[in-house]
Amino acid sequence: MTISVNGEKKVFEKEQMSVRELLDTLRYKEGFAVALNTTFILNTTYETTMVKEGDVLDILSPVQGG
Amino acid sequence: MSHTDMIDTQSDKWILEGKEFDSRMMIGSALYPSPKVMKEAIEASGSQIVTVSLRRQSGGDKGNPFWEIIKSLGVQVLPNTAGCHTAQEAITTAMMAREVFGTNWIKVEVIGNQYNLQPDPFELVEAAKVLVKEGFRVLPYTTDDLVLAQRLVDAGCTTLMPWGSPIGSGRGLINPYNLKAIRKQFPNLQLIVDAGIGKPSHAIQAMELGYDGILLNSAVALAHDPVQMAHAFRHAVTAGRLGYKAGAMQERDLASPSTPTIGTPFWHQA
Repeated sequence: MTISVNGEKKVFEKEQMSVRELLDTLRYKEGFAVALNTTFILNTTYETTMVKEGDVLDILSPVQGG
Repeated sequence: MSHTDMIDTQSDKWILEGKEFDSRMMIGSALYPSPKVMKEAIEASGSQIVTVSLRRQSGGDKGNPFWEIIKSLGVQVLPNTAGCHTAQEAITTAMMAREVFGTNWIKVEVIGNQYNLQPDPFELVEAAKVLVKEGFRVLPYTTDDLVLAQRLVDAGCTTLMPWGSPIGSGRGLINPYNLKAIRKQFPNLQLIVDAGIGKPSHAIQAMELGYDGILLNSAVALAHDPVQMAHAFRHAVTAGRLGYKAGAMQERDLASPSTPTIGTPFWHQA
């Protein structure tokens, strides 16, 4: 499947993956939150939320702000 | 501890959204020349509330030195929804911020105009309504519009953060009349001037109007010496607050001598 992760196209061999599996593959460990197709995904649902072809994933982390 | 310090820190605690603070200055974490200067400036400011944000970060295994510094300061973080243009974007960002930062405080910022970064009042109120119901402590970045202030209060906000002037402009309080009106109409709300403050004198002016606090970023971060400017603002906020509490004299149209006139020497008696 081809999906967008933080605005970049990424290709994976599997046709779908859980958010957890995807985060592990991308080596995200802590200090972030996830939105799938602009909808917030609670971290307790990473295992049960599936990502599929064409999905848009945003992984946001703390930055400076005013 | 001196008398002045006692007035400022002992008898004038600031209760904001259920928490107690000694400092009435909130400071942003952006635009500093380096992380080291950011840390030193925040410490010099005495601020106990620091604004932060969320953005995409490439690579999951790189760590986050910025966030480590902020955590080491032991401050209350106030995540913002900067960059959002709709209520839904702000709501989603707030949800993500609550999970990442572990706080239900959120500075709701919904921009409606790119020229002056003016908040979109309609989207802001909509976002505030939803987020209050979702259990957030909503601190809305708003214009100085009195009716909008009422709408935000109706939505459940107990703190409002009207702008002094557009974000990053450093122009100070361009409409003190409107800010005064909001203060007068909402004596029990926590009011914070957010955005537009450029000099310590602007902070003093805001506090003298009876505002409960100020939030600034660029004024310190873009100063030639951010750490020294942070010191200056710390004192300015204290000066303005004490001045407000002390009660300023009434302005007069005519001059009135301060030196006693009784016993004036011979040169005025010719």
